[in-house]
Amino acid sequence: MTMIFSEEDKAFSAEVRAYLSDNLPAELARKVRYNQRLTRDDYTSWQDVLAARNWYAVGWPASAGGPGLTQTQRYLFEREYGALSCPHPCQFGIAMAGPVIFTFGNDEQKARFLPGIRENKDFWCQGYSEPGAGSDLAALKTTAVREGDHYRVNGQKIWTTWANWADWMFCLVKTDLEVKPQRGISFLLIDMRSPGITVRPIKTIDGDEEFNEVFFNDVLVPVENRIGEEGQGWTYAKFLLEFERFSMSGAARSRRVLSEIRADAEALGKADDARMAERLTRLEIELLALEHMELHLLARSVGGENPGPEASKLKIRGTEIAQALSRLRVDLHAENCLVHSEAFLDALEPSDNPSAMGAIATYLNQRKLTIWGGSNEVQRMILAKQILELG
Amino acid sequence: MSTNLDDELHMLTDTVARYVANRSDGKAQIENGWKELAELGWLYLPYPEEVGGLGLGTAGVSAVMQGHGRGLLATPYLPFAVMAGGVLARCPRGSHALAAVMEGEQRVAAAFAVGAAPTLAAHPAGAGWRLVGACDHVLSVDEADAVLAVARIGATEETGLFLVRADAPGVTITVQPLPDGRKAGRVGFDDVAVAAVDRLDEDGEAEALLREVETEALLAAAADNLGAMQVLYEQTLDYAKLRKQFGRPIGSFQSLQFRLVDMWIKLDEVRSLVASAAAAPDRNEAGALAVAAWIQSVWSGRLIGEEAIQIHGAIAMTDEHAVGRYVKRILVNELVFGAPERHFSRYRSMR
Repeated sequence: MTMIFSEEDKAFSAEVRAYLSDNLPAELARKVRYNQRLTRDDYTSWQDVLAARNWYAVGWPASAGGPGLTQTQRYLFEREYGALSCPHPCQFGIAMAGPVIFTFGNDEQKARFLPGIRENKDFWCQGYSEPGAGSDLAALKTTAVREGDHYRVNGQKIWTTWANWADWMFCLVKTDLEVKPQRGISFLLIDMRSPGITVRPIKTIDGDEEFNEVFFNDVLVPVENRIGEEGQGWTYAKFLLEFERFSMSGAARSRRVLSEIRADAEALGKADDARMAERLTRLEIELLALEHMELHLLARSVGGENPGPEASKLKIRGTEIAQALSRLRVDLHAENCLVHSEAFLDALEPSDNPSAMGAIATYLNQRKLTIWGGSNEVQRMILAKQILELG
Repeated sequence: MSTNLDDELHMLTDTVARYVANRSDGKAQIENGWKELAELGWLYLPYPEEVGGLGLGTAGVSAVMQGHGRGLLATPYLPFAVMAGGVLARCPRGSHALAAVMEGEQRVAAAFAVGAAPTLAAHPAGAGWRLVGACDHVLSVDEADAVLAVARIGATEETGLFLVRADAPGVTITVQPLPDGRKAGRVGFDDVAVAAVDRLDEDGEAEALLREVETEALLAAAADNLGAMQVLYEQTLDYAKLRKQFGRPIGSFQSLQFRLVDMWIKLDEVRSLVASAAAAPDRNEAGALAVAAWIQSVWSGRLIGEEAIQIHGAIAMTDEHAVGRYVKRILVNELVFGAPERHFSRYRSMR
């Protein structure tokens, strides 16, 4: 039932740890540690490091040109990765566009798109949410009307992370308005340099601009950029939801953040403060429970079981714990968080107290965790229907 | 070896499930089961083979204890076999008593509270000792032939472990019924004479030994809680699917669906920690996981218990209904073995 890692597994862990720590630039690690904003170049240069080892598209099978890791290795990779202050890599190409392309795309599409994703040549974004279609994705309204060899795309996407940096977008569009909503959706790959696309960044509560609005005004997309069948986009989107969920516990990262907060508490002489010690221990035990839920789920899937939607529990608890940690950091530094400096957040200016200075922005930024990737309410709906079988 | 152990544990889990299903009506607690536990061989399974046990350790205990929680068994497996037996199994001078415990011939209660300082004092008297003081809330002491007492040695900071017959002169037992129907008692020691051979520990080892036993007791209590909250979750989920209001099952309302999902997650957290603690090969890690499992089982137990009553509604307020019995079981466990915060420093010292 429990996972006992083999010597090969342990050697793999050590290899990952050594490669990442040898190649993670100190300055980048410091930015991540203090939650400063990363530039596009921060991401891509780090992703190049990963790609050099074929560990950017780390979840891909060998048949798609990935490293073909076992599930256990995949888990161990995430664990080592989260333990270091590595930037969270951009997921849209490697964890979303890529898997849909290598699962549902034709040979030509695979040859055309997969190398660029795997080798970190192209920056991807995800065109799902719209003003009227968030959790209720089937309500989307962006249309793609077939005109010979092209689709003419009109409409709007929103909350599109890094659309301002992206070369490509994978996009859900409406290709049939007559049938029931889920049946009329198709999956298109759109070149972000196409005429008719306007990207407008949205400033978020933490002062960052990672979200965008994307407007499509008569954008022509070649039919060969459609993945799979017309009208089957919903199926592919659902496939991704499960693909993504298993790796969403974020437990390793939370473990690192917890030890950073504990170190801060010690440095401030607050580690023995009864209330602070109690909150730290409480969160640590909640995190331990999450880690062991994940380990048991991993053991079951290594054993051949498909845990399917059960992995939603990891997304729910993982994001709740990450948010609680971001709140704890604010409470620990208290009034020292009040000094606000955009220059510090943009890593243009040093600080004597960097832990405190990034705390509020992080707390605000982390509110997104329970909203995106299928909001936690959507995850609970899935569990209620599919695991508890409540009608 | 591991496959053998896995097979044995599998069989044990099945036997426990069958035993509970046969003996339980799902409502009242099961009384007078001690002889049956002895016949099933469960009194052998916690201890290592070197002292005559079956060597199933914490994994075996946690399977049996989940059955205890599930079937509301009143048999004092935890205090007698895990706590008192756990002490005896670690002391060479306890081997005789342990053999009688495993046979089911002698029942030894545990007169010490997990995580609390001893309330008894032992004064040297000739070659032996005299015990003075009282210990409260000793589980099932009314059924015991002897008690395993933990006492402070004289005016020192040291702790000693003593085996005392329940009918020894100067021992008084006052039964204290517990809110969930189980029994505990106050054991008074009025200058009770104890022979030197009945002090089980060697100087200086008692505290570390007790710590190990207490950690195992916490895991066993977590498993008892797990069994009980599993029933609460299952009954509440079933009820939500059957009970109709406003013309539809109440389980079709999203507010209740989300709460049931949270009960399921809280249950899974305990299940995961108990399973990991019982199977952890590393002693330190196993200890930290055991304490965490206990703490999580209390947190989860409170939520699942309160939600089970709320979602059942008024029917769960009746004395007749099973839900209240399970809720009381978990609550009594918490008060006997200690609220989470009381164990935080133990957890921190182990991780």
